[in-house]
Parts: sequence; structure tokens; C-alpha cells
Amino acid sequence: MKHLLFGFVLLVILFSCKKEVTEDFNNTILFNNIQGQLKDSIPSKDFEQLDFRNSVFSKLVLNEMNLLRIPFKNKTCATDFVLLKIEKNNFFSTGKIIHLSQYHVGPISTSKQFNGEISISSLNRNITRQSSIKNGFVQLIRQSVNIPFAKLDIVIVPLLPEVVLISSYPPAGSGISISTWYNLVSMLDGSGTNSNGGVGGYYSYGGLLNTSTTVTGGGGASMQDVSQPIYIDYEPAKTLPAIDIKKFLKCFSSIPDAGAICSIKILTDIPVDKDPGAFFDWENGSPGHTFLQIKKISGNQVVQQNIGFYPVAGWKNALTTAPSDGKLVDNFSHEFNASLNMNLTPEKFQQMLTHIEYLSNFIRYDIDEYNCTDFALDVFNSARGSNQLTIPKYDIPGGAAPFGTNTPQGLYQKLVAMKALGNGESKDIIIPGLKGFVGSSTGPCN
Amino acid sequence: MIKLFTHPVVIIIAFLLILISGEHLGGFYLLYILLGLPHGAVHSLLAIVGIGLLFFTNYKYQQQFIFNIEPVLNIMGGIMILLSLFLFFYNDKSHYNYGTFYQTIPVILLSIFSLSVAGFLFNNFSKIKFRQMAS
Repeated sequence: MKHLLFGFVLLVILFSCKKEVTEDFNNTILFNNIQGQLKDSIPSKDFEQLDFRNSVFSKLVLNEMNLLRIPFKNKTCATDFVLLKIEKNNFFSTGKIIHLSQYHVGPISTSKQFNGEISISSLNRNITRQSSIKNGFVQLIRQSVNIPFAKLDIVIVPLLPEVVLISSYPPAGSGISISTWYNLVSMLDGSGTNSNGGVGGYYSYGGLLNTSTTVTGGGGASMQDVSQPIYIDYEPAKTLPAIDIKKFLKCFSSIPDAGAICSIKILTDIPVDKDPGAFFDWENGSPGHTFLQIKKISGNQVVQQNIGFYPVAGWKNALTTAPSDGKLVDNFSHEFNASLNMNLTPEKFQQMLTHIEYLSNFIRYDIDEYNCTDFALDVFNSARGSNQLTIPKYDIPGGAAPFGTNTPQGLYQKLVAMKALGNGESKDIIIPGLKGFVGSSTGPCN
Repeated sequence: MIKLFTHPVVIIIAFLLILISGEHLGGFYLLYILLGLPHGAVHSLLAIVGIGLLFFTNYKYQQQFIFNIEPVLNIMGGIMILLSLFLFFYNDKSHYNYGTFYQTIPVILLSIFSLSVAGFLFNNFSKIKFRQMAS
């Protein structure tokens, strides 16, 4: 018993020591690297104003998205700070200078929605984006012309919120809500693929929360460390009510064809975000999902619908592979892991809408022969002409399809392969770092 | 009839045959227990231990309720399988299987299990109470 107790105490001591040494050591390296790198990257006047002692390092283990916020002296991470994306080698790969100002409607502690302005500058103080924020939504993006981060059809979409979180954690420590964090993470990427943090219909996954755990940093300074990242996901609807597809498609007729930009996007949500090879999620039995986003834009008018195909009762597919009743569902705010966009002429667009309406009259859900992926491909390919999108098929357990079954996983692999090929369509393929979320739908029109 | 309805074996069968209805796929709860087992899922482990306890108690004591330990083990087994089901849905952050609570057949099967296990727990609690009063 004594030996056992001694061994246990020894293990506890060893484990505790190892943990502290590792964290301190890593933070010292990080701190020194960042200081050295920043010295060469930002104006010396700004560098002198940086308050490294109150830096906040935020780790997102899931997709290895690490962020460092360094406030300016006499300012806080809630208003003026340098935002850096930290790579595995403890150097930063990109950075921005962020200025946030909040209109105080009520006490900050009770105000759940952010109203104010945001300004994002490059590290050498060139303003890249400015916008007002109303109730947490970015209202208007102004940006310098030399940063073509946003496509026309993305910026002018008014119905999509900057952040489509339905639930979020309240601000903690830094005074910035988690929703604001989402914006910052996406705005850090100026490549264009992330658009402006979700106005285009999705945002990168980077929810972080400051837990204010202070650890010793290098150079005699200290850094606040986010030791336990908190992951935010959208709160899905508890049920998936069937939509009246005719009313959903009718909305598109409210926009005249002349000069309209029409598009269809096929999106895939694989079962396990971190493991594209997984056939389904063993925790909840989900095989993933494939759905469509249909959009028509003309001037300031936008109609967008997110449509997916489901069985009316999922349990029936457990008992039989025979077709069961299906339903079309509004997939607003649904997550996705890859997407392919295709622009259409108004004529092709109309044909595609007619095809959806035609299919809705008789299609039945069949897990192995006509599932959500089959429906999405059916519609997508109807507008695609001879260049049909075909994806690798898989034999699913208990499936009776002789040539295999179309799955979200197969579509994901196809899109990844197309993106890697770098052909003409690769620019239309979006593969977010971990996952993205589509925006809202216009809904039914009478 | 009530005795049959609250028999441990009936409870176990009702538990394993709960019909889970996902957005695309569904299945009996037995399937989800087996799927989670290789990954050490909490709901699977609780289900296995709970079922094991119920089987063991039923086999060992034959529902004679001579010893105090019998209802206690039964209650532990019942709570474990209930906890297994609760954690399965609670940990389903995407609410993928919440259709189970809205569709007729799954709700009926869930209700049968709930009533059965509630009666079983009540029966075993009353046995403990009865013994305390008698002593």
C-alpha cells in the first residue's frame, strides 16, 4: 500500500512538473519569436506602443488555429490591438491591426449585442476594411481597391448576416463577444476565400473564449493564455419541417432575369469534420449531408435558398433499404466542408428550377439509391450540360445498389481532388479550414 | 401483467429496441451501443454495465428480494441504462437524432421503455422502503 501511494504521489509530481515546464518553455519561445518578427513588420512607433504584458494567446486545438492579440498601451484587447495568426513553428503568418469602437447603448456587461465600428489595417497601417456593426452584424464593407477579397455577389447580399450563430457565449475578460471573434478570425484572412467573415454565406470556424489563465511569458512579460478552448456550433432546429418548394422557388421570379446573376452551389457536409475518411459519425450515426444553395442577384435584390433532401422518418431506413417518403427542407445555416459554385444563365437557371419542381412531385428517399447526395447531384447536373459532375461511389452496409451509393464523403473527395488539380473550376470550389456555415434563406414567397 | 412489464429482461429488451430516428438514418439503440463500444463511448459503457447489472441481479437473486443488495443493484442498473440514453442524446450536439422525440413509432417505443423502467425503479425503491419499515 505504501509503495502504491508513493508511486501515485511521484507520478502526480512528475506530471505536474512536466506540464508547467513545457508551457512556460513554449510561451517563452513564442514570445521571443513574435517580438522579433513584429519588430520588422510594423512601424517602430506602433511597436513601442504594444503592450506585450497583456497579450492574449488563444489556442484552438481542433484546427490548430492559434491567435495572439496584443493590445496597445493604455488600450485593451476590446478596442485596439494587433491580431496575429500563430503557426506551429511559433511564428506568425499573418496579422492585422484591429480597431473596434462600441456605441454604448447600455452597460457593457448587460449589452449582448455589439454596436459600433470596426477598422482593420495591415501591419503597416494601410486600412483594408472599415465597417459599421449593428447588433453584431457588419453593415457595410468599405475596403481599399487593391484587396479584392470580396466578390460582387458576396458583398451586396443583404439577407445574410455577418454571423449566423444562434447561440453564443457572453463576452468574457476581453469585452469582445464570441461572435466578434468569429469576425476577427475570418477577417484575418485577406485572401478572398473567406470573404468578409460570412457575408458571403459562411465564415471560418474559430470560436475562442478567453479564460484568463495567466502563465509566465518570455522577456519578463506575461501573457494570458486560453488553456481551454471552447467550441461554438450553431444551434440547429430540433425538427426538419418540410418546405413548400413551389413557394420557395417562386421567390426567384421576383427578380427580373435581365442582368441577373444566377448561380447554384452544391455543398457537402461530411460526417466527421476532422476525418474525411470516416463513412459516418459513430457518436450519432450521421452519414453527413449534401445540399444545394440557389441564388439570384440583381442590383440590390437577392434571393437565396438552401435546399436539402431528407427522409420523412429517418428510422425507416434502419428497417429497410426500400424507398420511403422524402421531404425537401430549408438548410439555412447548415454547416459544410466543401462546395462547388456554378454560375448559370437565366434560361439555364429557370430550367434548373423547373427540374427541382418536377422532381419534388415524385421523388422518394432511398438511402442507397436516391439519397440527399443523389438529389443534389441530379439538380446540379441538370444545369451542367455535358460536363456532368460524377463522384466516387461507395458500398454502404446493407445497401443494394449494384454500383455503389453516392455519399457526401464521395462528393467531398471529388471536390478536394478537383481543387488540387487546379483546373478552371477550382476557383469555384471552397474548402474551409475546418467547416463553414451557409447563410440564411429567403424563405417562402406567396 | 405489471410484474411482466417491469421484469428486468423486458426492460433490457425495451431498452435495446428503442428506435432512434436520425435526419437520414436511424436504428435500434442496440446498434448505437455497439457502434460506440470500440470507441469507449460513455453511453455504450453505461449501457453495457447497466445491462450486466440487471442480468446479474436477476440471475443471482431470482427476484426474491431477500437481501437488501438486490433492489440496490437493480436501481443502479436501471439508472445506468437511463443515464446511457440521456447522455446519448445530450452529447449529440448537432441534435441529429432529435427526430426520435417527434416521430410516432420512436416515441411509442421510448414511452414503453420509460414506463417500464419507471415501474421497475418504483418497485425496487418500494422494496427497500418495505424492508426498512419491517426492520
